[in-house]
Amino acid sequence: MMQQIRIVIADDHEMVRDGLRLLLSSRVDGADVVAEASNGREAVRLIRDLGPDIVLMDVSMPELNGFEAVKRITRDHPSVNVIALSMHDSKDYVTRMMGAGAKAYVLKESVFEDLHLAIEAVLDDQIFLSARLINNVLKDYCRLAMEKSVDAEHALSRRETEVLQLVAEGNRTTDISEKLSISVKTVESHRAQILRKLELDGIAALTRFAIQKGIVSI
Amino acid sequence: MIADSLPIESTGLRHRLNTELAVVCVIAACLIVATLANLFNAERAWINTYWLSCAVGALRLALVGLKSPVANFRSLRESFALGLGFYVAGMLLWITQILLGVDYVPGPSDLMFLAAPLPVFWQALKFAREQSAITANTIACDAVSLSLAITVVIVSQFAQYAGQWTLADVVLSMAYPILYLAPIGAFFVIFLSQPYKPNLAGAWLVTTGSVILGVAFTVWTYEAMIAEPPVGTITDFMFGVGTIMLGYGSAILYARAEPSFPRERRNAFVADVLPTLAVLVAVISVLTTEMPDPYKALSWIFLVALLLVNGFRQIRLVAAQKRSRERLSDLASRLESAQEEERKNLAQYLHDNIAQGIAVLRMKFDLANGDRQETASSDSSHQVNDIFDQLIGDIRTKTFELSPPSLDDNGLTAALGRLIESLNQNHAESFVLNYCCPNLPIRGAPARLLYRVGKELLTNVIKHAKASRVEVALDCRGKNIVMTVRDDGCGMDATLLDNEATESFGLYSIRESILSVKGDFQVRSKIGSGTIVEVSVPESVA
Repeated sequence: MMQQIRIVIADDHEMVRDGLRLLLSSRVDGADVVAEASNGREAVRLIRDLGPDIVLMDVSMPELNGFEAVKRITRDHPSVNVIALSMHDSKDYVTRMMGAGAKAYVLKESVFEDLHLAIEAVLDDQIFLSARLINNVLKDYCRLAMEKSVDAEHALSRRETEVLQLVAEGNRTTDISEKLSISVKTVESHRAQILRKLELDGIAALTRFAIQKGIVSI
Repeated sequence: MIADSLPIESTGLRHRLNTELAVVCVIAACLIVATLANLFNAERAWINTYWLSCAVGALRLALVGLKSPVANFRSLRESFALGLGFYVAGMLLWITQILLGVDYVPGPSDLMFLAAPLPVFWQALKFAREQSAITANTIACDAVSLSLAITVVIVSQFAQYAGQWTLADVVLSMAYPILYLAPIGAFFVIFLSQPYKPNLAGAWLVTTGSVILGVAFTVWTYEAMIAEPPVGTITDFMFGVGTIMLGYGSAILYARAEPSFPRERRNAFVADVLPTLAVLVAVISVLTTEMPDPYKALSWIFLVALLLVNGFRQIRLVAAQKRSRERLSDLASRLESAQEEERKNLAQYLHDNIAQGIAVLRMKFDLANGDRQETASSDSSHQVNDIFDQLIGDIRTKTFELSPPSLDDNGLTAALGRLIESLNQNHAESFVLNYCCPNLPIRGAPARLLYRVGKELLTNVIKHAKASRVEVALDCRGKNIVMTVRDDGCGMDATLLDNEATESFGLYSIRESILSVKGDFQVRSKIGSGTIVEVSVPESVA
């Protein structure tokens, strides 16, 4: 006996729900559509009552939209795997849906190719995105990663970096002001500025940051 | 009115414009001849060329009225027919009087002559009112102040000629030229409010010419009055004043019709010139005329009343202009939001219904095809799938152009990010979006407004700036959201923006919508060193 996969479909278009049911029955072995919802609120209620394995969740729905519904579901029922289904291919939708807790994001036009793969992936605790989306999302990820590594240093001015280094090396404020020939007040304001920019909450954290970034060596 | 914005660049319109100018020249020539004849005490026949000028003006008016397809002109045509009827009746009566050998007495023929221009005058006023934001109130004030001015002049002249002339003589000598200037005035109203704009040089020529003529006549008449007054001098005096009024009047109408005339100057012009002139004439008349006491007191009372009416008028006019401007900008923003709503609905329908339908269709096609995949040629099913995908792609592009769904769902930065992504794909310039705003996401009305503004500004950059790098920055300052679009392109003369005529509609409507929500719009640019446009919108825009 094949293992049953209990599925809830949430989409406000009946045409889409019918299509998905047909697709699941013919392409996914063991798929069992236990309920259908036509809005986010209904979906949340059904999931609470039925506890399915998988939810196919449309992003734009009346009453409670996909984002909010997913947030509630992943908060209250973390074992339920949410697969987002949408016509939207902008990365902001993908980011938001995945941020809300969806495990997969499938474009509606490629459900035929992707849905069974997405179901396999989420059941295997993996992430799945339709091919068209991957490039954009990865680009964004790379940009963020690059910014993170470069940003911290570049955000500081040259003088601030000098101050950061001296502070991390354990110099006192008066020493720094002598070494850089600037007033104590200026050093203090630089230090406050650095803490603000790097979102750090004290000299210890600042030293740790400088060591991590290789600005000072131990 | 759409017709108002028709370009003048058509030979037919140019031809008509030239005809109008020729007619104006004929009228001016007749007026000069009449005045010179009067000056040198020539025969009555020459003086009568003055009436000829009126006739030419009226004839032209009739032709315009008869030919014009515009409803305003049709009603004008009817009033003109009425006026013409009066005129012909007056002529017949007058000729009968002469044929019967009766001595001239003011009588029914005069009444007919006086009544003749009134319908056209009335229509012209109506027309002028429809064409401008000037309220009925202001027109009423103008009418009152003009009649007060005329009364002052009549009283002073009557005082001077007391004994020589009867009151009827004085009134008639005043009323004739003023009323017969009305059709010419009406002609100018129509001439200058035609669906095409008169060219700058022509209009200024007419205006300046009339003003010089009028000033010369007034001075001459004044001298003649101080010296030995010949009969008919008052007519000439009024004729001179009338010419000034005509000149300034046409200048005012011109200023109203021509949007390249800077708004502030135009307002001052319209608000000040005509009533000031009326006051001036009245003051000169009272000061330069020796009058026995009751007349003098009466004149001063009228003069004070005149000044009061003018003050009132000025206040009303300023208020009316302010109201009308507010209404206009309110209308513009309502129009814009209605359009936006419509675009949004269409985009949503396309995206949610049509594209989704195609997606389901594609899935069902694949399902049906999948069952017999081994037998059927998978090549043709690939082709069909490509068509489905292309259709969906097209709808996505169109949806995005119409109204990006991200704007409502994910906020301004998401929508702008997507816009910039697509611009980077399709244009040589490099576009960057930076934002530093603690209260993200920006949604609702300010997001819609800023997105529209940003899109328009970026389109302008692509069209005109020849930039290599374009930066869009979003920032929150206090309760305002600030968007800055900065390019390193060829720059422009930022002062040109203050001139409405050179402003594109896009930029104009942007500025209107931003100012209508009490935001701020600033352009900093120099030729050759890029442009920075900074737009600030309050967060709480409803």
